[in-house]
Amino acid sequence: MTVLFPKWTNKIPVFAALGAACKGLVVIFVVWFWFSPKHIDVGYQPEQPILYSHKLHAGLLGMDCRYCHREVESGPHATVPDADTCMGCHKQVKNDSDRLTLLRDNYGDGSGDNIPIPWIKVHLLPDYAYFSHAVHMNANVGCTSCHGRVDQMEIVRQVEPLSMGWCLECHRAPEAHVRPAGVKPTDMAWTPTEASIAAARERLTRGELNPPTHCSACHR
Amino acid sequence: MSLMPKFTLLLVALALGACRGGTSTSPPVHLVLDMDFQPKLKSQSESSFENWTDRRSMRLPAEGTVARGSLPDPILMPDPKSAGRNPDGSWISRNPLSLNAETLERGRERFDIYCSICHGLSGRGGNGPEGHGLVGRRWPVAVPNFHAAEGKDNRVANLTDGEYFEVLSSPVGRNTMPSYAARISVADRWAIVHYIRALQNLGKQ
Ligand code: HEC
Ligand code: HEC
Ligand code: HEC
Ligand code: HEC
Ligand code: HEC
Ligand code: HEC
Repeated sequence: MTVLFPKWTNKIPVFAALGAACKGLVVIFVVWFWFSPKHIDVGYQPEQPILYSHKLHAGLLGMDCRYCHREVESGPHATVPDADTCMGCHKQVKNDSDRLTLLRDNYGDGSGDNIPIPWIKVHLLPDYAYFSHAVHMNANVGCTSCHGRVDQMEIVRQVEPLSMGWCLECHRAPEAHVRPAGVKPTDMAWTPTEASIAAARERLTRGELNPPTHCSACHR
Repeated sequence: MSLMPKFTLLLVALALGACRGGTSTSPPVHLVLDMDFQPKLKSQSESSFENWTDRRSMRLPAEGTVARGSLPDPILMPDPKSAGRNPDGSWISRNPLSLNAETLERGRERFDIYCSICHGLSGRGGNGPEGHGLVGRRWPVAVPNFHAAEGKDNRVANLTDGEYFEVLSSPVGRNTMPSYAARISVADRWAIVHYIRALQNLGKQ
């Protein structure tokens, strides 16, 4: 006689009950872990139209970030440099490199459509959130706090989630990110010291620094 | 299979599948679109308006117009058509920006950002293995030295303040040196000239 229901099937109701209990936990875990900006946003590293390397220019050649990201101190956007900034040097240096063909083609000499180089934006906030580099530069928050060690990246990668929780985490306790007056915001190797943390706390209590946590500061 | 291995298998699968912190070339997923992308143009974004063939959302000002507040300052630019010169055509000999700790500090900062990579932090220039700037070392021609040295061609060290200013204001730069006219503001250019003088005085000691 064939057994229609083998013996192990007796356990099905037990498994079903256990599964139902676990499912809730698994769903919570999946959403918490995989839907978090720490998972879906961090690590974005698009292929750029030109194989441009920060490790070479900002690291090895020691160029200051502000040579290229010129508006970082005065405007909301740091801005990506125009072809003229690159060509200032690359008319002389490596002017026959294959990796710079697109740059030479797009350089405005009157020919062609003069289309800017289609760099792909890496760090992108939703359009409803307001962010300004200038205020953070005034407070002397360094680039590394939000972009990581760009001077060690061949291709730029997003290292922070840029989520609201991340913004607020720093706004509630920015001491370790605020640099003392003598230190450049573009100094990549700087790490906080006890003295710098104490000085920042002093500025916070005196009210010189006011990182906002009210909604209308960032949603205006 | 008993329950334990199944559960561990599940955990292993979760841990492996997560790949948190790994890199990806595909853009982040927007789980809920909300108003993440609004039909407005931000700085340096691309425009699809068909009449703008260069696709820039940031437009150039109409030809022959001057934006409010961008007229040349009569003290810093006495002759708006010819930077670094007095209206009578002579070179400005005395830096019109008042010299104080603040302007000097500003000049140092701007010099370190824009000039030091070629001319060196000390302003001693040069190219090849002896060059003082890291980019200057790779330059095909020698980057001039701002410091006068005995038995050398000291033309650049002896230029007037106005001539330094003119090099920074020229829309084509100077020979192989790039132009900074669009990148450094008029006041910052004079602040840099102050700092070059300070470097020269330090070099004499
Ligand atoms: C407080 C955090 C923070 C600091 C400090 C910071 N950035 Fe950013 N940066 C951001 C955010 C957030 C964006 C995305 C802005 C957007 O999409 O509107 C961004 C975008 C950029 C971009 C892309 C272009 C743009 O402006 O949208 C560049 C380039 C950039 N940052 C460079 C820098 C440099 C260089 C520094 C240091 C001098 C710096 N940033 C310091 C948070 C920061
Ligand atoms: C201040 C001068 C300077 C500026 C500005 C500059 N570069 Fe460079 N770049 C260099 C030097 C010097 C090298 C070569 C280093 C070496 O000797 O290997 C280089 C190398 C490169 C290379 C590698 C070329 C090859 O074949 O090895 C690429 C690509 C490049 N740059 C792209 C850019 C882009 C894009 C920009 C504009 C955003 C830019 N550079 C701006 C100085 C500059
Ligand atoms: C020679 C010019 C140059 C210098 C110097 C430079 N950058 Fe950049 N940077 C670029 C260009 C071009 C891009 C756009 C292409 C890319 O993302 O790689 C860029 C992109 C970036 C981005 C990503 C912007 C985005 O799309 O979200 C960040 C962040 C950034 N730079 C930070 C820095 C920091 C920090 C420094 C100083 C250590 C620095 N850069 C120095 C030219 C430069
Ligand atoms: C590493 C620390 C840090 C991070 C991360 C950070 N901020 Fe800030 N932010 C500050 C500090 C410090 C100030 C206070 C500046 C002041 O009072 O001068 C500030 C001020 C501001 C202001 C006030 C501007 C004004 O007009 O008063 C806004 C808006 C703002 N931040 C938005 C953001 C957003 C949006 C993010 C996330 C994408 C963010 N910040 C991430 C440190 C940070
Ligand atoms: C420091 C800046 C800052 C402050 C203060 C702030 N937010 Fe946000 N908020 C952000 C940023 C940045 C985002 C976008 C995060 C992302 O990319 O997912 C955001 C996203 C949101 C979203 C959309 C979330 C989603 O993914 O749909 C809501 C809703 C929101 N904020 C509400 C608030 C409220 C309510 C407050 C006041 C209690 C507040 N925010 C204060 C920066 C801020
Ligand atoms: C990319 C490299 C580079 C950078 C950056 C640079 N210079 Fe030069 N500079 C040169 C070279 C090369 C020359 C020699 C030009 C020539 O062939 O006559 C020069 C020449 C000069 C001269 C002499 C001009 C003359 O009349 O002969 C002055 C003054 C000068 N630079 C000032 C500056 C200042 C100030 C800065 C910063 C804003 C700066 N330079 C940035 C490369 C550079």
